[in-house]
This record gives sequence, structure tokens and C-alpha cells, in this order.
Amino acid sequence: MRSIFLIVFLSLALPVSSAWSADATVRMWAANCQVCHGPQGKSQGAIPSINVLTPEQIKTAIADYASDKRHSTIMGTIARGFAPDRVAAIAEFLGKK
Amino acid sequence: MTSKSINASRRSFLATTTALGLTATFPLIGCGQSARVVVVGGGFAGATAARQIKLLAPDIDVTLVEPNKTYRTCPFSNSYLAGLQPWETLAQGYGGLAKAGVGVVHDRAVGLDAKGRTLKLASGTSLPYDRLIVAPGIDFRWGKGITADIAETAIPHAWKAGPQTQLLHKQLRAMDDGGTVILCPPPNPFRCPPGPYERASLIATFLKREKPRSKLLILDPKAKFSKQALFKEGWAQHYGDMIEWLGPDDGGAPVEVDPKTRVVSTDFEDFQGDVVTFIPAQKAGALADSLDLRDEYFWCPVNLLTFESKRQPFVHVIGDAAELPGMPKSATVANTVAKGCAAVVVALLNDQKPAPPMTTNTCYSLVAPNHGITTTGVWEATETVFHPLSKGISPLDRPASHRQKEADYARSWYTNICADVWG
Repeated sequence: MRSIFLIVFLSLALPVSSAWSADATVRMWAANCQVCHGPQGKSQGAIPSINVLTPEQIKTAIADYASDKRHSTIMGTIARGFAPDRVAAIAEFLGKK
Repeated sequence: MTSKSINASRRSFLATTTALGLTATFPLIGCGQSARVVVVGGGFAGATAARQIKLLAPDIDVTLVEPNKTYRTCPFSNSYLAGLQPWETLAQGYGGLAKAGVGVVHDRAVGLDAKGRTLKLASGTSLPYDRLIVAPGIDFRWGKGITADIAETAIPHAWKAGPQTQLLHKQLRAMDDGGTVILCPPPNPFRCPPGPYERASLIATFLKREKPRSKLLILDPKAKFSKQALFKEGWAQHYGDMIEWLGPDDGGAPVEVDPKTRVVSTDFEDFQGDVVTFIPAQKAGALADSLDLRDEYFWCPVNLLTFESKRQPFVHVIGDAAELPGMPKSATVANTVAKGCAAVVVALLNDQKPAPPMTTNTCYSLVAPNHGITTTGVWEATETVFHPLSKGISPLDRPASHRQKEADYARSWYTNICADVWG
């Protein structure tokens, strides 16, 4: 019985495509946005929804917050914490398709 | 990946492993279906981890173990104390997680068989796991005249939202106008660093409205506290001299509390309170002791890149109980750490190297119902510390419109994080 468990596990432990990990990483980064902007980026209340923005609009907004071109309460600080390549990946994941 | 492709790979791998005669260097997965993750603790951290694993990898079997059917959030419990929202608004249930495919078991974890990778429950049931995630929350280091019994009946800490929060609410309403509320914050580190000062603020909101001749005295063992300048600015603006803060240099560090007379003694003076809320020094929740996850410094040491316990292999510790140098013990950190941990666990179960967890803190406090303030930060884990990528705090001397905006954002944050965790 024990050996059956082992074999079953070993088959699951086979490395799958490397894209899997990249996908999980981008989702993990994007999950940092969803804590305030809501599940799937759909917010209730005063915080804006971000699921209605295109990836391009998200990238522009984050760049403008990071440079303080666009005034914010906390988004300037948050935006400066994410490197542009990460912002681009998050924007593709969260933005309106 | 479809179930068909998993089955195909299982078959081919079965042949390979048999041929190679491979044995047990890999973790065991029970009952031959899918990887099993058990999460213990249904607060901000645990409930988030359970849901996120299911979102990332629907094939993984996720079970959440939580004794209570209803969770009451500490965030916004100060608004309840102020009479700004009813008790029921702090309640969260587990139906949303069940709908998301998480198996919810209302039971208490009592022990661990680390070798057999099995969690023992109070009911006698055992749950096998491939990875265990534990979110023990906090417990208290009693002393200075305060015991668990005294906290429950006379001097509430109300630092886990529950009956003590309701007791404090009742005591505030029973107090005569002109009375003194004494609030004793804990020493560092503790759950929600600005929380005691938000509590002072919102109790003052209540007093100003209903018992305007009353005072609120903060007797603090710390010389500095979170968002100090912002709180002091707001207190002067909204409450005049109603709130007085004494730190250790002002003779304010509490030494002893007499629960019968409600006198709080410091090295220099005795202070008579009518209502006293004393928040004791803290440590990882009792669950951390049952599962042997805590060290002599009161918290649970973990590998910062994986949140795996330094004391128990295949067990991850998240939430306020985890020792995460550089990060505050806030609900948002609990949520983003849990998401990082979910990504790590899913990667490890797929035999992949996880990316370093990236976490965010957005910590709102209300100085008054229309006056919000924040601290914000973004971090990335390294082996030794959570490295700050950016940090910020609300500026001083901002117009009322800015404070109003942050108060509105605070309420929206609460709704959204609760939907993200339990919804």
C-alpha cells in the first residue's frame, strides 16, 4: 500500500512546464494589488476598480504614480516598489482583455 | 494541465520509477489522488492561503481546520467600540471558502506527527498532508496583575475580536460622563502596531459625542509608537486635550493593574481608571506550542523565502505568529504573506523552485470617522530579511479632504480584503 502511495506521488512530482512557475509568480505579484482593489481587481467602495483598465492604462497609471506626475495617497509608494517588468506582467494579468 | 495529462504522466512515470527502483526521498501523498495541503487557522492569513492554493492549483486537495464557525475581524473592531457600526458587521463565515472548493473542518488541531505528516485533531480524527500551513495568530504573556480570567471579566484586552470587545463596548457605555478611560498598549512586537492608538482615537470619538467631560489616558511602555506624529496631530485637531499619552519617560509605563479598584500603577504614580483596557505583551498563538513551532523568543522562526518552519519540516507558518524581520504584524501583511506562501507551496508540490515572495502592507487607521492615515510598504524576501522596496506614510499637515479620502479608502480596503479572504 505504501509503495502505491509513493508511486502516485512520484508521478505528480514530475516537473511540469516552466511556464507554470512563472504564471504562479505573476499571480503572486498581482495578488498584492487585489488586497485593496478587491478579488479580480473589482473594488467595492471608494478604492477604484482596476479590472476595467487595459494593460496599457495600468502601466501608464503606475508609471505616473511612481514619478508623482499623478497625485496619490499611497499609490506612489506602492508603484515605486514594483520594477517596470513586473508592472508589465501584472498589467497583462489583471487588465481588461 | 488537464486530468487526462496528469493520468498519462502518472502512467509513464510509474513505469520509470519502477524501473529505476526510486524510493522515498519525495514527500508522500496519501490515497493516490492529488497533493494534500492542510491549513490550520481561519483568520486573515490562513483563510487567504487556503483560497489562494485552490485558485492557483484547483487539483490540490485543500482542507482548512478552524474551530469557530464565525470569525470576527480585529480590523474595524475599534469602529464598533465607537458605535460607528454594529457588532454583526465584523463577522465572517466560511461558506465562501467552501464554495471555492476548500474543505472546511470545524475542529481544533492538537498535535502533529511530523514523520508521518499527519495532523491530529481534538475530535480524534487525523489529517494526512504533504504540506501543512499553520496560522496560529497571537496569545498573551500574562502579568502585571492581569490574568486570562481578569481580561475576560474586568479588564478586557479585546485584542482578538470577540466577547472582550463586547465587554469593553458595554463598559464604555456604562461609564459616567466625566470618567477616565485608561488604555495600556503592549510592548513591541505585537499585532497591529497602530491599533492601540486607533482604539484611543475612536473611543475619544465616542466620548466626545456621548460623554464629553471624560478623559482618555494612554499609559505606554514604549517611548515611540506607530504613526505617532500623525495621531498626535489628529488628536489635537479632533479631541483637544481629551487624550493624554504618557510614555516611559513621562512615568507612564504600567507596572501593576489592580482589577478590583481599576488603579494602574507606574513607578511614579497611581492612576485611577473607570474603564481600563490593558493589552498584554504578546506571543505566537497557543497552536504554535501544540505543534512545537515557537522558539524561546515567543514567535515562530521560518525560512523567509518559503515560510517553512525552522522547527518542523513540511510545515509553513504565516500570519502574526511568524517571525518576519522587517514586516509589521498587520492584516494586509498576513494576506500578502499568505499569498506568497500559497505560491511557494504550489511550486514545491510541483517540484519547482519558488520565486522569492513579494509582500505589501497598506495599513489604514482612523483618527476620527472622517480622518484616515496610512503606512505603506512593499518588500521582497531574501534569506535573512524582508528587503523593503519602498515605504511611505501619510504626510503631516494635509487638508481635511486628504484625510477624508484616506478614511473612505480605509472602509473600502476593509470590504475588499474581507471579500478577498472569505468572500
